[in-house]
Amino acid sequence: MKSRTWCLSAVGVVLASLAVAACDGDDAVGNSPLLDGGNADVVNPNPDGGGDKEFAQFVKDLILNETKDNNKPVDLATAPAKDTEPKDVFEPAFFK
Amino acid sequence: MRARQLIPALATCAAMLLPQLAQASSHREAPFISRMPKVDNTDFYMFRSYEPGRDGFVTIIANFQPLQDSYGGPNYFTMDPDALYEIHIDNTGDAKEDLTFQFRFQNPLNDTSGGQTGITLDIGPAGSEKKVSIPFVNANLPGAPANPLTAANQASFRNVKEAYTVKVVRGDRRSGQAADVANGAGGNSFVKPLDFVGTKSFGSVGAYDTYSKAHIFPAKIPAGANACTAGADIKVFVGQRQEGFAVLLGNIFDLVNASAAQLTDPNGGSLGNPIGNKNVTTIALEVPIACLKSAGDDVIGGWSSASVRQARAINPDATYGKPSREGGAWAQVSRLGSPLVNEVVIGIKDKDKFNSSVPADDLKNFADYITNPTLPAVLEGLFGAANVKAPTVFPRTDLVTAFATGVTGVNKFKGTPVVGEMLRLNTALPTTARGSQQRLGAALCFKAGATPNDPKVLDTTNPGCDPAGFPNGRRPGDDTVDIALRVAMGYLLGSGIGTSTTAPNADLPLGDFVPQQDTQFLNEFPYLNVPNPGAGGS
Repeated sequence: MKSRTWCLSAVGVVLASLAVAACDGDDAVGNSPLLDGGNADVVNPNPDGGGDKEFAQFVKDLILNETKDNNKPVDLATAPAKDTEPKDVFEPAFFK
Repeated sequence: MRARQLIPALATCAAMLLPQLAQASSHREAPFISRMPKVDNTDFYMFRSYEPGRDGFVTIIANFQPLQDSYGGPNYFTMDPDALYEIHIDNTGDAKEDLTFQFRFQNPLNDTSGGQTGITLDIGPAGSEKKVSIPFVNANLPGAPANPLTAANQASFRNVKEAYTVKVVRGDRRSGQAADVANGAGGNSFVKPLDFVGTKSFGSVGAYDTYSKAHIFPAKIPAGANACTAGADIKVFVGQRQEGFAVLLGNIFDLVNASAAQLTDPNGGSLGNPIGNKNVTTIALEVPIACLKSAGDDVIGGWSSASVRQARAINPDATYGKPSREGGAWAQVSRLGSPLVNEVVIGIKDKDKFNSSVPADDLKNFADYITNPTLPAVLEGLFGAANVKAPTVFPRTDLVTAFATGVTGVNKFKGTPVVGEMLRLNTALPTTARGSQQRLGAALCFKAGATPNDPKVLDTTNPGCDPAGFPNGRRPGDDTVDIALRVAMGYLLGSGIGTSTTAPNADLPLGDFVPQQDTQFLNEFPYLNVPNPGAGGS
């Protein structure tokens, strides 16, 4: 430890200055519409809210088309609300 | 308030405070992660290696799968083959990862037909036997008594062959440059030892120790942009260990069934760890300091996380290899840097959000929880009549320092680093040998200010000062429960007991009476102890 004595009260200044630094450096803020102001690191594949798509089909599309290590999660706020519990979305071959 | 007056109040006070700690460092701490124990990150440690002769390295440990009952067969505690386990290092102070170690697991059955059948036995009358799969994870047969399972024979006797790969990603964990960590044999796959099923399967506790040590692998980080330009030798281990976190679990839920004298024991108590009979699954790395730090700063920040694919479809006709099909992007569901943050700092409505977030967004998402913590106010509201007083200084910059910036001259990045919750370690500070470590970590490096209302000041000559301990990184023996309790009640803000108006409880020796000490752990990598056996004794 280089400094033998250091006063903790100095951290009050740190907070304010770091707040400015964080705002300057965080390019993730405002990337996507968020319901809860939470994870900005998501994408929106269904800007129209999913239209007439079934939720199960939405899930299937994610698995078939979005399974990549460098993808960002989709924003679930845009997932279709329609869920008629269709029985034929996940055919047996899907799991082979 | 005088100490004598405060002690009776503390028994009740702690009854409210400690149940939140009772979920342990980060065990089942958030609603959503409690549904997914295989990816529940329980503890994160990062310290300069104090094993003799290894102080040029940093040991990083990320534990998963909380509160394992050692007898939890027949499947025990394999890692999730559909998950991504990660350890992140920030070495520039922007609260974003510069280096990430990624772990992926596979657990095929032991057969030659694609890992779907496993070990079989011929069952039935002679001449018309059927090959039937066994229901156990190991089959040390034939032999009476059974042959102990060893690293040498497990290829034959082990029914579930768990293995993993490690990648290093430089830059952003999703878009950065990824490369495999090579094992000592020129490949990139590492074997995870079978959990400690019991002493009949392995022979004895000592034999399991030998077996698990055989899974500490030398490996090589691929060449990178920093001092690892020629690649670097590291150690890798993933396997079951004894729970290393110590907390007064059962008694706490029983309205803190302990005396006030116990809760204020200045020596930290004498109860055995109530969760010491549990196990966890450890991911451990030992990496040269030069491969972690940047050229211009000795401080590194670390945290771990676990992610699963965003979508899962359950196979209605489940098989061993395909109980479900998962896909989509990786979605983070667990995050852990400093212990206890998501338990006693973050409000319950935001605990899942914390687990899905990244340090660089902490100021935006969680600042109020640190600068204006609720816990001390709750305690005062409930026990003000007994003179329990929360600190009165806001914003709580002492907590900002401990959790989100580090201490200048100790473990704070140079320049103007971004606020973010992670474990910060100054890799240039010397190690403290096992047996000499202070259980309160670096807390005793702070001494009273000029008056009781002045913040404590850093003084490395203060008796008991151990700058190599939490919150400068975290070692297994650091008693983070006691440290966190004291800091939350204003340890850094003032001094004395009842003499400071800004932090009346500043120097109360609050603790949970369950000691955590360096001598409870190994003096060598991976430091955490051999797991409890599922059956049989020591």
